[in-house]
Amino acid sequence: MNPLPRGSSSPDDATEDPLETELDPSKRVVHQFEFSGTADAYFQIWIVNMMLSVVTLGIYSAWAKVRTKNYFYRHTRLDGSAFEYLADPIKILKGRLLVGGFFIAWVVAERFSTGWYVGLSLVFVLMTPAILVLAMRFNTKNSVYRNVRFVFHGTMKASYVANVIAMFASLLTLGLGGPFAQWKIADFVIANVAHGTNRFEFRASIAQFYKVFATSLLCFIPLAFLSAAIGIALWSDMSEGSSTTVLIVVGVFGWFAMFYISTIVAAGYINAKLANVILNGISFGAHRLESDQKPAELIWLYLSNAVCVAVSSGLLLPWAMVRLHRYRTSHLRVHAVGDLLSETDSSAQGGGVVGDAAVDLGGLDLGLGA
Amino acid sequence: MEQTPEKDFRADTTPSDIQFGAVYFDGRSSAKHLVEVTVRGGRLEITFQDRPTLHFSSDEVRITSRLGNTPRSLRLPENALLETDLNDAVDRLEEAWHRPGIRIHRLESSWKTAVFSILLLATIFVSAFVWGIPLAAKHVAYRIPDNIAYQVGSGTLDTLDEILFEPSTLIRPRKDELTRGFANMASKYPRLPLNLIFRKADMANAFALPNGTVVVTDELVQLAKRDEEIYAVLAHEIGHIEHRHTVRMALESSAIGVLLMVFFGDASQAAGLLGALPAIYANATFSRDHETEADTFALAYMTKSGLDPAAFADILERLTEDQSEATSPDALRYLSSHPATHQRIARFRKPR
Repeated sequence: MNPLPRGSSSPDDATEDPLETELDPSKRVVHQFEFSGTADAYFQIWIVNMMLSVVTLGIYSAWAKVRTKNYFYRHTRLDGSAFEYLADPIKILKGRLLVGGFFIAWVVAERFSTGWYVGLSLVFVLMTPAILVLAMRFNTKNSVYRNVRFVFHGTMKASYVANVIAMFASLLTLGLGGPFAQWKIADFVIANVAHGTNRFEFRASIAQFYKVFATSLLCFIPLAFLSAAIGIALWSDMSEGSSTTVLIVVGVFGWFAMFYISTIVAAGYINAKLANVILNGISFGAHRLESDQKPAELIWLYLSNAVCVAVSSGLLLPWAMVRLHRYRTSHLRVHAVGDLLSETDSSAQGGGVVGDAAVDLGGLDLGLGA
Repeated sequence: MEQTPEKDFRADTTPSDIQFGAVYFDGRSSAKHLVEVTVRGGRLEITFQDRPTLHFSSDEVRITSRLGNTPRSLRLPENALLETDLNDAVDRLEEAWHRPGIRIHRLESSWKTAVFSILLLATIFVSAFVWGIPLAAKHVAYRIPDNIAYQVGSGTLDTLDEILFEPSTLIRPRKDELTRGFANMASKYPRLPLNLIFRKADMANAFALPNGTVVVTDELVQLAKRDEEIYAVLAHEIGHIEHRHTVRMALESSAIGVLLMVFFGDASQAAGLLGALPAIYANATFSRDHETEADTFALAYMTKSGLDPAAFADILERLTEDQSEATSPDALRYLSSHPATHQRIARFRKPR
């Protein structure tokens, strides 16, 4: 029931937080996030989701999404209570049809008409800040912990301001402002989330974001050079025409593998470091989050997952997802002062499922909540 | 869950009663209340440690459907909620109240269904890829009105002129000669708005644009040893236009994109870059099928018009030397947009 792997600290670990030492130490508790889902149980749910989605020509996929999210939410516990995802599948279906229509028009336009393609792309880019708000409203509203819904307070106007600042910061500085842009968006998203009336605060600094990207560059520039060197050697070899077919095959695939592995390693490193910086920066009320993902462990998870999923032609995907979720939750805990108590916010806004569907199709991961 | 152990039946319950421990939330805050739930017929009773007992009738209670062994929620009026880990007790409650919540769970907890689903999905996916999508794309492409189909990609030539082509340096009499030959070919397809243009590029090649324009490069004209070879290539390109391959390719790649998204949409993160491989492979397969179809068209045209099919084989052979495609490894052929050259050549050399 409590599959805590190595690496998780015991709940007795003393913390140095000055805020907490001032308060009654007997009220300080560390709550470890727990995930009790299993790969075989999720596999059965996943394969039925797929089958019914295909048989119903995609209609069931909306129900499948709710069941998938719920499998992970409801198996994730904090202080003995599970999370729950309450979205209405009918609404998700409508959103998916709308966004799917837009996506098909966009793909077709790419082939048929440059004008339409550019126009639709522009519409999508201009709508991104609005989509972000709609998706956040929808996801928070439908995420429940102890019968209290999460709420998103970010306004459309604030989203456009934050996104425009972020965009210009990274474009005008030729990418140097990238980490700042990431911080700006993370700050907008997280500082506007609340659990009921309990508002989140985001305390991660811009410097921490820069540190993550700077260290990752130091690690991966050599890797990129190595990859490029192999590629160039291979290319010159081929243009001389001296090598045999077998050698070229090995070389080309080796280079692809190298490139692919570098990408996964970089993603694992940055995702682990960034998740820690972002999650450690979150507090609500007197409570704060703590995340201690290890880059090496996450890289190993990514690599082994990718290989197993590819070799099993997708059948091990559920196993990969369960592993990843288990890892993340086992490295996440709440340093609480007293009970995790929130009041229901009755003024919460509706939110838009179009945003949620757009985020789904765009493959964006907002990484909110459990 | 430790705090909700299944209690022994108390003395005042009968065997038909359902009883389980749960956590109660009142809908106003996240405060937990440990409670005891007893169901007698159509009534649900919640016993608190420190509050008066609550009573609900069955139509006031909404039960979330079972999902693996995840905790269940019983939603009550005024946003109140009961949460419990004791799935078996809730299953019995659903059965007693004739609720259908467990149907999907039955499918999801049977390995027979899982195996059946895998086989069904594999069959559907393979047949959609091999027959369904190409056939549907073909039907749709031929249903698009001529004027729309030929407008498609009208900007393509401008783009190509900008990034790839230079003006042709062939002498005018040569161009006129080939244009006359092409016009002769085109006269057999009055329905198609065919038109031949010349461009200089880095390599010997010919392109068919969906609006009926065929582009031939100076290099190809120079590579040919006899005009029959050029007309063979042009016949292949007319085949692309006649069969509306650009429109079909667009439809096919969109369809495969949507299909893959249905399959891997929710899990694309875990699949990562590898997720793009099936789409690349599928599009390459569709493209190879179109090339074969255009070859068939060219072969039929040449046989009918008394041209020597071997001319196509000859120029293909020389093109291959030119582009040193022969050294490209066999394994990569699966991702290639054209069928293996030696197979294409064999079709045109076959004694007929």
